[in-house]
Amino acid sequence: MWLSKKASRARIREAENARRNRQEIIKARSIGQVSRRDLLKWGLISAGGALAWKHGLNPFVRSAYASIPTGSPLSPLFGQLPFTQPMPRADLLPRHTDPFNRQWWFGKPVPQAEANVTQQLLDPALPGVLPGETGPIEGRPPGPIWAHQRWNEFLPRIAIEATQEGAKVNSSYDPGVTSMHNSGISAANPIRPAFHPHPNFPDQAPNTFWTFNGTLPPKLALARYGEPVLFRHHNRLPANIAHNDGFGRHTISTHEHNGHHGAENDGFTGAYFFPNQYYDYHWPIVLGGHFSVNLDASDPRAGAPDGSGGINKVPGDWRETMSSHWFHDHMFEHTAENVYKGNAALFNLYSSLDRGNEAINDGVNLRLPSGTGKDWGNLEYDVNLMLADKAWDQDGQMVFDIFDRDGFLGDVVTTNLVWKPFFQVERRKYRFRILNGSVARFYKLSLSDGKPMTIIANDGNLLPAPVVVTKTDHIGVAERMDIVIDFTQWNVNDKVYLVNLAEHEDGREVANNLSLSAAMSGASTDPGVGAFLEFHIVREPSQPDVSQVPEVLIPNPDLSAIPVAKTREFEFGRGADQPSNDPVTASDGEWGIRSRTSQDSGDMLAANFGRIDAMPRFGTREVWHLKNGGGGWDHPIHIHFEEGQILRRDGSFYNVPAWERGRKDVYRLRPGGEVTITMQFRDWGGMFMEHCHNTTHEDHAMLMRWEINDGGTPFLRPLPTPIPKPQGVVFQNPTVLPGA
Amino acid sequence: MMLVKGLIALLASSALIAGAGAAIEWNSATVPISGTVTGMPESVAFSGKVQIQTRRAIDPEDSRRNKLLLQIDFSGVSGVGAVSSATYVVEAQDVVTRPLASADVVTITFPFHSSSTRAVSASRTGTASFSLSVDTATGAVTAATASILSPER
Repeated sequence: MWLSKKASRARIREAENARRNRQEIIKARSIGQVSRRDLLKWGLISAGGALAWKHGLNPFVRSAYASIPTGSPLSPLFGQLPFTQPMPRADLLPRHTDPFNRQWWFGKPVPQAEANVTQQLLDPALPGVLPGETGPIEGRPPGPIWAHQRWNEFLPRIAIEATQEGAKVNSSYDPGVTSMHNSGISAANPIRPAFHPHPNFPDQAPNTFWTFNGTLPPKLALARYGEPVLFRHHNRLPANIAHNDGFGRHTISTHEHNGHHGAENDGFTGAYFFPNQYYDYHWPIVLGGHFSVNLDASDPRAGAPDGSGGINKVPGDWRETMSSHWFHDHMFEHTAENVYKGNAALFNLYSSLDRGNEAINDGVNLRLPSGTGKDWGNLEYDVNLMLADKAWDQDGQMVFDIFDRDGFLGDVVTTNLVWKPFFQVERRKYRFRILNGSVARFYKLSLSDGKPMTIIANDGNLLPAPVVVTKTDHIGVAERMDIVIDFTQWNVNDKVYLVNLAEHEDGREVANNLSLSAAMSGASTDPGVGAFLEFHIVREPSQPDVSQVPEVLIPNPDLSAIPVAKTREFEFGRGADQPSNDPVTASDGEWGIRSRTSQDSGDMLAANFGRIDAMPRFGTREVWHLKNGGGGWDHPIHIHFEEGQILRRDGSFYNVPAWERGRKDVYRLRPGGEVTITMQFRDWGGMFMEHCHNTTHEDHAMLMRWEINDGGTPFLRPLPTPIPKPQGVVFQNPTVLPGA
Repeated sequence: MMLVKGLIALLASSALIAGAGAAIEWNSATVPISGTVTGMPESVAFSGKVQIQTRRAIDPEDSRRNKLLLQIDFSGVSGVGAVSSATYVVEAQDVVTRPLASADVVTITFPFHSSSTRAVSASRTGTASFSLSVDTATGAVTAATASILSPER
């Protein structure tokens, strides 16, 4: 996959040239100049999507300098040593408590239920725009169908806004903790857009790296249940589609993963918006079952911190409480490029059960490691870790390769977008909210000495009970795993490392699980294996550790009494058909999903966001079988909107490990495997998605649209498909798969 | 450090697991295991049986990429403290992916704790090593030795 560290300069140069040659084609594809069909016609890719075996293009063609394939060049490290620079904590997005005060919105109007279609002069650099043309200031599809559902019931009380823009220096970093809890990093010092703070590491160019607010570290939003949030996302990417430094699309759609919100706020893949537009995402932050369970809000376990040590009780099922989300781009066919390019942020939800205060002893609060200074949301001992593998060229600029249709892998694992940092900790318990923010890489994590750690949550949902492990299972792309590490197992001044045991040969699946000693040896051909984060135990606790890891966390909702309205099977595989030639909604990728119901045996179909493949009825429960169509792949399947429970793996509950026995939103199928889940469909409606979160697979058509069917107003049946244009969104009628 | 090797005795079976979807065949083997983990507060001598389920994942494009998936369950293993005679519990399970081969050595760590303490606050780590013979046509484990030892430092 990659060149050896000992490769000759000539071979590195040859591989770099091949990558540059590919980059020309990648850029043309990223800006829509060529299609997959064009590449097929020109013989540059195979029908299966693989890059043609041409010397000077494909890194695996026999080298001119040796008799073995060359591989890709390793990312240069500019003479730096690992674990010499601190890991920055995530950067808090400000929370404004008066969303209808215009001062927050960069001079734009305050939020409203329907999209704001006030016209603005369009930049003629936008595709398809003539000088003098106008378009709406908000990119949300207009009209009542895309109005925020139940807007007046859930008027936003918190305003959060962010731009998407090119890389720049961060001079307003807010880690939410003092430098003592941030490895000595002073928030007052500017942070460069680089994967390592050493001056030798180059800054990323503005059009190479497109992040929230254009800066590092990754952003973190905080919210409480019962406190509706309006997240306004401003698109400040270049109007010229070609100004992307070779990859990435300037249109975006922001998915709050795994928000339980109306579909107009879900970041639907076809509801993207253009540069110089904004999109208002309304996140009511309600518990599942808000309109059907605990209607009188009498149960304090369904609640949120009230700011002064008490609980604001809310309707809904407390067993649906969620904790660790994230939000990221979902642009049709370009999600991998855009997320890789920096469109990924973290999102912590707080509740009466998981309030981010380890001291309040009210009989409800689980008192997980966090801190005590504030009523809720303490971060001193509650740390977000975003893992993402990257690659950069000899100039240090990030590169991407869409020709890696197996799934793009970087050779450099970053934590909070820094290469091999250290993080200073006290000798006490910490909670780490780990997100796999990669494109295709799976991680299997262990501490370098194999000492135990405790999994408390998977996919942001606290488990029914904590699980003590010495290593995790594979963590798929978009999966979250919250672990507690008790650093009293070590002494002050000790160092221990977080280690990846999952070795890849390509982006298809994990090739091998290494033993701890093999992973630490440095012998793996996968540079992503081994230690990537150092914990340095620097002192005894600055305050007593009163945190707990209770025996019982959050039990699953019992769905057994709810009838199963429908059973469906979705098979994920390759060689999909695309019956549509719609140039906007239909993907020409080779991956696909076969949707089987009792009414239809199903074909393997490539993605088309204008086609509805499933229509579960509002207020019902269904059982879905998710099946891997082959043994040579793994697919982390994400189903939007509703949390599911795994009933069976490969046909048996025995095969469901303890850490997967809570609620989930990403389901790793494992090679040749299958997962059976059950879900309810309630509270909100609209069009949602199911897809592989190996975003390379997703972008090449392993995605489908499903839609909640009726349940009352205001949903039509089926919903018209939005077709965004800078001049305004138009709609077209969807097609519906038989048996959907 | 005392190292006690397990016997090459295993019960291999192949069970078609019933499910609502297409059933996937897993093979099951029970492998005796024993050995001692040294360290504070006391050494612990383990014995029991590990349940290993295996299945193949066949790559239709390249047989060199075929995998063996293992589910390893330690719940049949327990330990005795050398000083206290206390019982130690192993509740660990693991899921492992390996290249499919007729012989393999799988080395994994596992947590254990005294039955009188909570796992989340007092777990320690042991290492288990399995030497496996595998029928590559079925993915079944045909012979195995297993041992428990202290983790490498």
